[in-house]
Amino acid sequence: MAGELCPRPAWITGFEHRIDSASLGARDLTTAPSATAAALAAGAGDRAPDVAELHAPFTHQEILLRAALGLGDGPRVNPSGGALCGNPMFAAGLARIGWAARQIMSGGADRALAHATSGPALQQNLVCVLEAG
Amino acid sequence: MSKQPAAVLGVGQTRHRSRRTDVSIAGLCREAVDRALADAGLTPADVDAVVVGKAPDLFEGVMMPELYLAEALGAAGKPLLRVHTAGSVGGATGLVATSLVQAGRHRRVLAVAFEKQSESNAMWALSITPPFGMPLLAGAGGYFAPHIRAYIRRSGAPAHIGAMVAVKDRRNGSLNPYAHLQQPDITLESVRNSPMLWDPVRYDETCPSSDGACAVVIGDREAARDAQAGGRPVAWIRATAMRTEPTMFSGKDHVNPRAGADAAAALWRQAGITDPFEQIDVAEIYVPFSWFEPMWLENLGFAAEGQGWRLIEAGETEIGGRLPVNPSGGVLSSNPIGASGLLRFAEAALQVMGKAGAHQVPGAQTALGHAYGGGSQYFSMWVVAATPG
Repeated sequence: MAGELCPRPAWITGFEHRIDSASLGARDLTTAPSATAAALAAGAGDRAPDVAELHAPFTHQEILLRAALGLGDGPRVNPSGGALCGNPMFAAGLARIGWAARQIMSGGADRALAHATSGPALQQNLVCVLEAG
Repeated sequence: MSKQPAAVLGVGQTRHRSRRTDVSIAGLCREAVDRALADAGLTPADVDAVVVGKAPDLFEGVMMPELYLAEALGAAGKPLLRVHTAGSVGGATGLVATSLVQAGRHRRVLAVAFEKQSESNAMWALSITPPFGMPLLAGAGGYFAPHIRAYIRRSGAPAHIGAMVAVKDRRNGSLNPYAHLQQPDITLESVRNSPMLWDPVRYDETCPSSDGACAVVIGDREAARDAQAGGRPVAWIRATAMRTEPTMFSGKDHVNPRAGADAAAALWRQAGITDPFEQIDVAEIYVPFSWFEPMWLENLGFAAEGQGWRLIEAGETEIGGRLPVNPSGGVLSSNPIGASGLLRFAEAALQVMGKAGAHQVPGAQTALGHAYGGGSQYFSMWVVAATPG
């Protein structure tokens, strides 16, 4: 069905989310354990993505997330402009997945990672891995 | 795509009260969670994911409470999902948790739902005037009373039917140690002498405002077999259904909403049930105002349109009748709003597990759990049974 509707579908190969304690004193705020756990479960570390769309409404969160998700220097991060260029709060995470999918569908990437967050200081994190056929 | 079998492994609920000042919202939820895990013989480490539901955040004024509750629910480091479908949310929470197991995503999922009405004012939270919409007037009772009057006019039901439901549910509630209202001595006369709130709904025909929580552990076939091997009964989830329609649209039938009827039809089809009145042994139906029992009996297909009240008048919905409805005492005896739907689902499970105590319907094999919410807008239901089918 996907192939009939779209010449180059973005296949979802991993889709996971995790949450950490809400208590800021109970976690190391220089990391995001639930982002790391979601990425691991989603198989994000199997191969580096070409593109990553990170839901980072504040600049320092992008630095934290690059480390927490083990992205290294390879992937292009937020070619869409990210949440810093438009943050309809409860849609911004889905927007990341949409933009990541568009990168695959347009042939701009073979593998993409999308991320969404909720709660104070990156408490809850979701990772979606998308791939071309 | 075939679904994996799923079953209820354990059930927990709080002692519902007007004011649980001894616990916070987190403590209230944890009380239900601990009881559900103990009932299933499990620990938090056995749970793969948590689904939480409650009525609108406006009630307690705690925005996105799922974030603050992560640790209390034992969800830190795990997937935590919030469900939001107004008063039906407890049912919807159970169904989302079930779907995560049926889809093969997780082996064991914990569903939790709560409301702490003493920290809120649900009646006035429901009385705001939404933009471009009809005002809901004074709370849920003011909204639903005209629909009840329409039901009475259409069906010709005698005026005492509502009071009969109230007497039955409150007496059933007195058999349930967790129920908020304990009124073993209630009578038809006392109900009919109680103050009129929203004509024809009297004070004693109205749900209370409760603090309470409910938790249910749902597991896959292997988890269910493990529980059974340990001597713990499970409730197999035979069918689930959820349907939605707008609160207001021209042609909406508030007495017999299409979404509820469609959900019921899909539910019975999935469960292989052709005559629900004969094939369901006990039903836990979301009845916040007494007259909704006959209305939902018809909407669910237990009785023909306009005939539901006759089952009540004949005593068929009492424990010992042909279709006991709300042996737990129902929403009329305890109403922690967000939890009320999951309580219906959980009480249905307890019946087929044979663990309902003094309000057990003898020999119950197949049970319905039902919830609705919004302005008769969201409908959630499941059929549970003692055997996997």
